[in-house]
Amino acid sequence: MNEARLTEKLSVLADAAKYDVSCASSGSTRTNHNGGLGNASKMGICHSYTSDGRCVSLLKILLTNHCIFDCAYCVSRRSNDVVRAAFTVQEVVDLTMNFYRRNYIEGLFLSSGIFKDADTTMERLVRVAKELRTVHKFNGYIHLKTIPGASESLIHDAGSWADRLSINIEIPSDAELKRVAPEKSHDQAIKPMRYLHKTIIGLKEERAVVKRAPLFAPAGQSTQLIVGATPDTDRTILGLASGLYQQYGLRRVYYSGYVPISTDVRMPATGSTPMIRENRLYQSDWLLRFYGFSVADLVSEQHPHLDLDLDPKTAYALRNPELYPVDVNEASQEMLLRVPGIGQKSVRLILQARRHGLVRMEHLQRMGVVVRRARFFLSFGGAAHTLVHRPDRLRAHLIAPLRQKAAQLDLFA
Amino acid sequence: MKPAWVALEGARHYVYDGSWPGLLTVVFTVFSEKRPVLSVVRDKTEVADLFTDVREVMTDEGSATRVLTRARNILGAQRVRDLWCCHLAERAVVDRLLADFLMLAFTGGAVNDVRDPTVLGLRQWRKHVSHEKHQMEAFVRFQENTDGVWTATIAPAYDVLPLIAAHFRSRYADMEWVIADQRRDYGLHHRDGRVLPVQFIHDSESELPARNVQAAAHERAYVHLWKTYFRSVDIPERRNLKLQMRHMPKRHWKHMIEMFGPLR
Repeated sequence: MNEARLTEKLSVLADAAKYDVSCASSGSTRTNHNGGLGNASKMGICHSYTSDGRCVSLLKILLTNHCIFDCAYCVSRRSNDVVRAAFTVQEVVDLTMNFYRRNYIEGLFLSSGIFKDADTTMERLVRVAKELRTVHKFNGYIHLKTIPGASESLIHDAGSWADRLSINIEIPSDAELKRVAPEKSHDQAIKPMRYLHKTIIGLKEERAVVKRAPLFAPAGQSTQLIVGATPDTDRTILGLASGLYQQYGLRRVYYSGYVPISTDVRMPATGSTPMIRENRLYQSDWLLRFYGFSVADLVSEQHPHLDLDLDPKTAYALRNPELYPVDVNEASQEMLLRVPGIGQKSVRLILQARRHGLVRMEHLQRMGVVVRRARFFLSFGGAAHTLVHRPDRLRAHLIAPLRQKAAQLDLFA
Repeated sequence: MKPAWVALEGARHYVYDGSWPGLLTVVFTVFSEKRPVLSVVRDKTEVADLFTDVREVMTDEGSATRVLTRARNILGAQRVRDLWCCHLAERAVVDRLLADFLMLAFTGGAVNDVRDPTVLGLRQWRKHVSHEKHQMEAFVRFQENTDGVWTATIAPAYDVLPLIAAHFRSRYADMEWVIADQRRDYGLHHRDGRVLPVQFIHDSESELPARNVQAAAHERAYVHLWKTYFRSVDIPERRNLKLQMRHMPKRHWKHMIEMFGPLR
């Protein structure tokens, strides 16, 4: 091992990969079936946290940052003057095995700049995964990037070795994408997504009958959208995300606030996208997936952007005051989920408690409900807060303390 | 809401040895002697008080088994396992909740009523213990030694080694490893699919049991590469130490190689 050279490559190729915000190591069912090394954890494990509070779960690196493309938003674009480096297959395998054995990581996240052409790049990524699985009996988590334009047979190989595959759409509208990345289109990303979705569904059905059918991308697919690099609205972004969840069964859509790493003239001269916008998009994404909200509940033609001052559920409640207050002891699960300050777990506890008798405010507090928020939207046998039907005053009341806390808001990615 | 037996009259402190069968014996004693619980503690000096009644309970496997069987019949095996997990918190407040909860179950109380502070309290302690277990699965850092054994030291807030054994056994099936709980002077030793507890003779100088071995030759290189990686993925413009500490409490840092010392 040439340690000095490897260290240099690692710092270049980890740095270039960090703008991909996907960090999940969850959702896979792989077991250590062959007495080898590793297994997947259903809920995922974050092994460390950097000083910005983000989790470190996978060894996230590029195979190389050499790239034939010239996408304006990307730090590795052809015309950008940066240090270039490339790992060998063996180096990536060694790093993964040795980090994993020390319990530093859950597995490998491997992406790459496109050197030569799509198939050559994809083939090299697949080779790393295959070598880990077969030669080294590695059963830890592997996330591979699908390279746009790679052949279906290579993408199929990738799915048979990896736990998760992802292909980044990056720019939320096709028109804007064409402007900043003339060599790319949404179609290029959607095609492999559709193919993978079909294959995953097909093999799942097969597994239901033949228990020993091979695993194929057991943790599904994900994608990333860059926020704030183009004028696309939150309505465009959430509409796209919701479509991806429904049509292609994506496990996750990640939102990456644009960091002005580029001095390319095709990019807007704006500063960083405020983290709060990224945060609001993640909150909305949660509401879409777990709380029964639709995109139309959150954004509209008149209000194409999310309210940055209030979380999307509170903003919804203030726009629809006629739906509140919600009676804790009478309301349906669906309505309880729409109360700001009440999460899925609290709803489950409330429903369980109701079977035994009346639920009061003091119970909610102990159940983990954010009572200082929820109390405005709840009633207990008719008694409700006086501000519930005065959305303007309530809004002012809710925003005041939030303004002070805004700087501390965290990001969950 | 509370059943009648919790009248304070005749209530007393129960002292036991801290073991799970010991706690079950306490419950057996409470139930058969019908004297309510003032507290359940492991150390008699905590309740040395002239005016209260202290009952020292000797662990009795027979009584413990009877309590366990009855509890399983009423609550189911999974729920009883949850109680055992709570007991690993090693807290007097939890021991008290456990005794109260089992008495509630044995007297036909509503064991699913989450409005009851005892029921909800135990649910929350179960969560605390699970959280600590999950963190230990994440924050253990192995070092490879010249004798081929991989070693790690931790100091969890609760006694979670019994809970993490299965995870590490299947994950590191092809390695011989030792995870040492520095705070409790015992550890887990894995070899060929078997995990056994090992006791350590206390040695204030070293954190691991005295073994005349050293880190493997390439250990330094991989530690250095890991630290390099850890630094490369940070985005300093978004520094948020409070968030970092919330996810990764500072008390764990001294066992996490990337969090201390120079780059090499």
